[in-house]
Amino acid sequence: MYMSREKIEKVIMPGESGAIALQHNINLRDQAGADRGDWRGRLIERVRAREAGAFDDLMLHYQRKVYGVACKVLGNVEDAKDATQETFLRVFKYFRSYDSKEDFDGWLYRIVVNVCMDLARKRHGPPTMLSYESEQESIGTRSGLGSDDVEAAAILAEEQSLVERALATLPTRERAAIVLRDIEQLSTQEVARILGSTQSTVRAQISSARTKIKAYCDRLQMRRRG
Amino acid sequence: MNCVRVQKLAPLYAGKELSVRGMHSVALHARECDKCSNVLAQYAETSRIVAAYQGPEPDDVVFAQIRTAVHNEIRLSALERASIWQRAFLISWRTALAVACCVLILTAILVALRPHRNSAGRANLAFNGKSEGSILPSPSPQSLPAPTQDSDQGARKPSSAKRVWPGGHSLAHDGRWHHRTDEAHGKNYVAARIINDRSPEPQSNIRIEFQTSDPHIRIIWLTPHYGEPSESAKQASEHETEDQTGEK
Repeated sequence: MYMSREKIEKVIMPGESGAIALQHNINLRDQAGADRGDWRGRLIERVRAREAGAFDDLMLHYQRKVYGVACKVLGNVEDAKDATQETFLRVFKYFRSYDSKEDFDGWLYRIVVNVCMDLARKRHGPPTMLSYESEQESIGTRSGLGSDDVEAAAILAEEQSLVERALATLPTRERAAIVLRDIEQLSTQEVARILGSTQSTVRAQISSARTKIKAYCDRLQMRRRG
Repeated sequence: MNCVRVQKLAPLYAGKELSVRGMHSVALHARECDKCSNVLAQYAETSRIVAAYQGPEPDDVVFAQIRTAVHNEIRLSALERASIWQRAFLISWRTALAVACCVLILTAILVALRPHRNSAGRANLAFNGKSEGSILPSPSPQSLPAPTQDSDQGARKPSSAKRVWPGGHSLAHDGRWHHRTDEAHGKNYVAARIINDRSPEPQSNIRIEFQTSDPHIRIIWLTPHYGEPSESAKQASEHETEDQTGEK
């Protein structure tokens, strides 16, 4: 059964010593990971067997991840919705071709990235980005922060907006590489497998993307200062 | 390691994607060089900001809409697939019906044009002298006219005539097969050859009539009658038989 991180933290007894608690924590995390893997495997088997409601469960489980990656790669909310929909349709269509030995997340990421590439190719004109003000307002109202936290939220929103704008300046492949590597925290090897290129190519793309993002941030800061 | 090299490797250093040796070299240089250290710190900060980026997160209503749209699309595609199969079935059904009709018509035409089995069988039996209604016995070498010695055609040897077997296939095979062919066709073969070679005048015509099972069809066969064979024809036939046994 899936066990969230918060739940694992709560399970640790307050009277235990640090080392025991840490070991207990690690064991629980391993068990939670194994349970999560089992649960995912069972879900995939259910989808493979065309069990009623299984695909809906799969969508419920992966919708945020798929939407998040699509949104970051495309930089557009509406396109991200379309990409999410198209991704799940492709998953349903090509589920038979999925090898159960393969990592499902990697397979799903590959579909998402391919869908995003297709959409980016079809899309005309620059991506419509969220404005800094609207993002700041939405964060303030969403999280119900007090007046003390507004400054921190504003900084966070500024950073988010900055990254969003910086990502929009990158070519699609570089954007996909940096999103998978730095935001989704995948290894270079996994990113290379998802993008269908070599590790050295991915490293070059990531390096280029980081340099461009840093240059963008520097320019923006200099403009604000000046 | 110089500053240019370190600043080039800085993006990868920030993501810890260099080798252990590369990481160590960059770190050593950064300890001594403030400028490079500053650049590395900036890259590290950028990486931290990028890693913290979460992107806009829609509410559950949007996800519900997406799921509904996916389900609708799946249902639509299933319906389309079903209609494609239905169309394919209809097309194949019509094609099959058309093909069956064509086959039936062709069969009917062939049956109508086919000669009556009984009449054909009786005619064959009559030719071989085995039919009840046959009048003419099967031709034998003895019944053939004698070849004339002064004629050019008559100067041919009987053995050379073997090569003129109708169909000509005996020439392309070995002797054994050839003899078998001669044995199989025997008398009729000799008779046909000598008739063709000599072209004698028939003494009279014989009329043979067959009444088929169909009362409207009657087969009438007119054939020339050559009379009794002469002595020279008998000799030629004997010579022919000797050649055949000699070849065997």
